[in-house]
Formats: sequence, structure tokens, C-alpha cells
Amino acid sequence: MTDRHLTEEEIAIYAEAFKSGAKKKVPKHIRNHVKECNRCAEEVVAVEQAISQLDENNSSRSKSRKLTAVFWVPVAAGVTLLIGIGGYLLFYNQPDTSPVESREPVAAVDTISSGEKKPAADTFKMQDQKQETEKQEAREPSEVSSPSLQDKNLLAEAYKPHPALENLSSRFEKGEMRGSRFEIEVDNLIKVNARDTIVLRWKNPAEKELSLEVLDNQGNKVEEKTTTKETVRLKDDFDKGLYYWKLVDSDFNLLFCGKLRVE
Amino acid sequence: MQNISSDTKEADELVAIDEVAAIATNVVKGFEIRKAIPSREKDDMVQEVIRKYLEKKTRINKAYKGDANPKTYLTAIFYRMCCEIIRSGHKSWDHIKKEDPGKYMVDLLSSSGSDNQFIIRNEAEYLKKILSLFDDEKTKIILFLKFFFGLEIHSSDLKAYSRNYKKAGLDRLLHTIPKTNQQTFEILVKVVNKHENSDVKQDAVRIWLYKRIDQIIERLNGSMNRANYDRKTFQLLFEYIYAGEDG
Ligand SMILES: [Zn+2]
Repeated sequence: MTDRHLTEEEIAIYAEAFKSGAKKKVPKHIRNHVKECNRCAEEVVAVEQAISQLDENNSSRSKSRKLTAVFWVPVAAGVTLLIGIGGYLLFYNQPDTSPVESREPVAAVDTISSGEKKPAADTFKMQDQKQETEKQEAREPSEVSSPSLQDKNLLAEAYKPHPALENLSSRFEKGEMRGSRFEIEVDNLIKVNARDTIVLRWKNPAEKELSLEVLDNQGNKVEEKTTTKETVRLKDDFDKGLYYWKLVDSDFNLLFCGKLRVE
Repeated sequence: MQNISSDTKEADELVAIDEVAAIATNVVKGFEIRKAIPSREKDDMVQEVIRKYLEKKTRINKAYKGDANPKTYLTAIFYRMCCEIIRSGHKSWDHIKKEDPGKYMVDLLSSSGSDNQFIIRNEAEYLKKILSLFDDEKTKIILFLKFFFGLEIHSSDLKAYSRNYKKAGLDRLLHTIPKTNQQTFEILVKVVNKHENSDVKQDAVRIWLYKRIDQIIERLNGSMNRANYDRKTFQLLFEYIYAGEDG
């Protein structure tokens, strides 16, 4: 390890490479220093998180004021949730608590936070309810609650697209995020019956370690696997509904995000 | 922002001043989320960071070589400024008091409640990032920790560590179940020496692994009371990620 800490620019270089999954491009002496130095490692992670957040903010701002306004709510709610259940473990993992739609093709994508839409904190609920109400009003203005309609609504809920994941998967569908040229051998939208066996396929000749995550339409992780193979068989007991699946490599690069409709 | 007269980018500016403010706000927000500063101090902190930036601007610009994006560069500069401000003493805030952090961690990591699961998943992602920063040692650390903690080792773990793992007999060695800590390191030193064609001593492997464990724990805990892991709770988190793999 060099006896001086990294300069701010060296931290920035590593953070950028870490975010884009191009760590290997970082000069060896910088990587070696970070391996040994806790302080610089902490800075790299913090700066990587901050620039990811900045990207999210910019992207959200350019899309609409409304989105910008809601942005920090889940983050703040996430913290409230933590304090509520123990008040001690304080982490800073913004990518997990923020919308995913503005991620770069090879961004350091973590899992979509399953807590993002968790109804444990009131703020989440309020936010979700607001968005849901808006969408409901747009789509189903005449529906009022009655027992039979409630059942239908429940099922409709299970197929309601998750805005951020929907956006992400559509970017892969349009080829906007195939920078890594990862080859997937199934359709972007897979339709299956609830009792069907679901097998996902891709090309992985180098046998890289890949993480597969399946998320429901609330963003909750329902299945997770690590594999070096080219196929994965999913569990058999998916409830009816809309799901998303993501493939991430060991450097946190998001390789693919597809949809799964269980009917 | 107050005290800022212009929002245009001057010739010698790396980043337009309105963007400087956005970057400062974003960095400070990160400290607020981690509870390294109380929310009420957030705006003051942003102002302080911008004041420091304006004061040191010439030096900051001069030190910039152009290898990183200027916004990322400023983010790194502002991160350090915030650390300085927090550590400088005149901003010493009480962190959240913990009654029994060790017990809390064990309870948290052993529980299956959905709220706790949310936290654990975030922690797991944070740990994966930390492991990634060990760069070319990452696969070795994961493999050795799996063995050390008695987790099942898959061929993918072995392959990630050594292409010739079969030929070198590493799979046979690492599928042995050691009865004592001593045996664990006897096996690990054989693995190292076979793979690296070296002649290191058992102590060296033990010292290396314990050093990495302590580093990981320190990084999980962070310099500003991010969390409070010890070896036991780190093991629980590690197992959460790596025990359930089915390769
Ligand atoms: Zn350092």
C-alpha cells in the first residue's frame, strides 16, 4: 500500500469505475491501496453511492417535477423504518432505496430494494396509495368497491406494473441497455401458467458467477439464486401476477431485466 | 443558494456554481441519511461546504488532472470536507444511543421478520460492495471464509479461485471437514501453497484471513457509527448471503 491516502481524483476515478462495472480499468496502485485502506474504501463506496444518487436526481428532474418531489420520500421513509425497528443499524445504501429507471447500462446495480414498496412505514403507504389512486383514476374511473370487484381488484393489483422495473425492463427490450451484449435466450416478457415450470436461459460460456433475482410487482424479492450456468429453473409456486427478473454479475453489473407474467 | 452571485460557468470553473450547490446538497444528504449529521444541520453543512469550496476553489481546480468526471471529483472533495467538518469538533453530535448493539445485531440477523429482512438485504448488498473492493482477492476471501465458517463450497467458488482446482486437488482439500481451528488453517495453507506454488507458513494464512475479517468488519461499521458488527454478527451476515447458494 502506498503510504499516502488516495487523492480525491483517484477516489473519483475508482468510484466511477465501480459504478460502471469497469473496475479493471482503475490503475493497479489505486486498487491495491483501496484493498488495504479502510478509509479510502469507505470513500469510494460513499462517492459511488453519491454519484449514482446524483444521476438519479438529474434524471428524475429532467423527467418531471413530480418525480423529483417524490424521490427523497422513500429514502427518508427507509430511515424511519430502521429507526422504528431498532434504531441502531444505520446504513447508507441509496441505490437500494431509489428508483432504478435511470441506471446506466453497466451501472453498479444492487438489488431493487424490496423495502422500497414495503408498507411498513406510513410514508411508503401514502406515497404508494397516492400513485395507485392516480393510476386507478386514470384507468378505472367508474370502479367502486364492492365484494366482487374487490377480488378483481386484488388480481389486477398483482399485474400492476412496477414503474421503475417496468421502465428498466423496457429499456432492455428496446436495446437501450445492452451495452454489455449479454445474450438472453428467452423473451423479454415470458407468459406462463401458475403451475408451469419456468426455466430462464442465457449465454454464459465463461461461466461467470451470476446472481438472479426475481421480484414481484411491488419490488419485493421473491427468489434469489447464484449460478455459473446458463439456465436456472425457478421455484414452482409463483402466485398469479407480474414479476421481474434481473441478472447481475459479481461486479454488480446489471446484465438483464425481463418480465414474467404468471397467469 | 445564498451568497452565490452567479449561476453561470466561468472559464476557470470545473462545474457551474448551481451544479456545485446540487453536488454539495447531494453529498450532505448522504451524511444525513447515515445519521452522521442531524437533519436540522443539513442546510448549514451545505453552506459550509460551498463556503469552503469557494475559499479553496483555485487549489481544487489546480489539483484536478482531468482523469475523472469533474462532478465526481467535486463529490469526492465535498465528501472529505464533510468528514472534516464533522470531525472538527465544533460539530460533535450525539449519535443514536444503542442499548445493546451486539444483541440487536444477533436478533436482527437471526430473525425472519419482513422488516428486518429489508435491512438485512441492504446490508448484504453493502457487504458485497465491500468484498468487491478487495479486487483480485475477492474470490479467495469468499472461498476461505466459506471454508472457515463451515459453509458448503461449490465448484463455482473453486473455479473462481483456481482454474486448475481439480488438478491441484483443491476440491478434495476443501471438502474435508476440519475438527479444529488448527486443522482449518492446516488445510487452507495447503490450498494456498498448491495454488500459488508457494511455501507460506500456516501462521501467515491465519494472519491474512483474520486481518481481512477485521477489515471487512471495520468497513461494515464505517468511520461514523454506520453499524456495529463484530465477528459473530459478521459471520451471520456472510452466511445470509453465501449459505443459501445452490450454484
Ligand atoms: Zn487511504
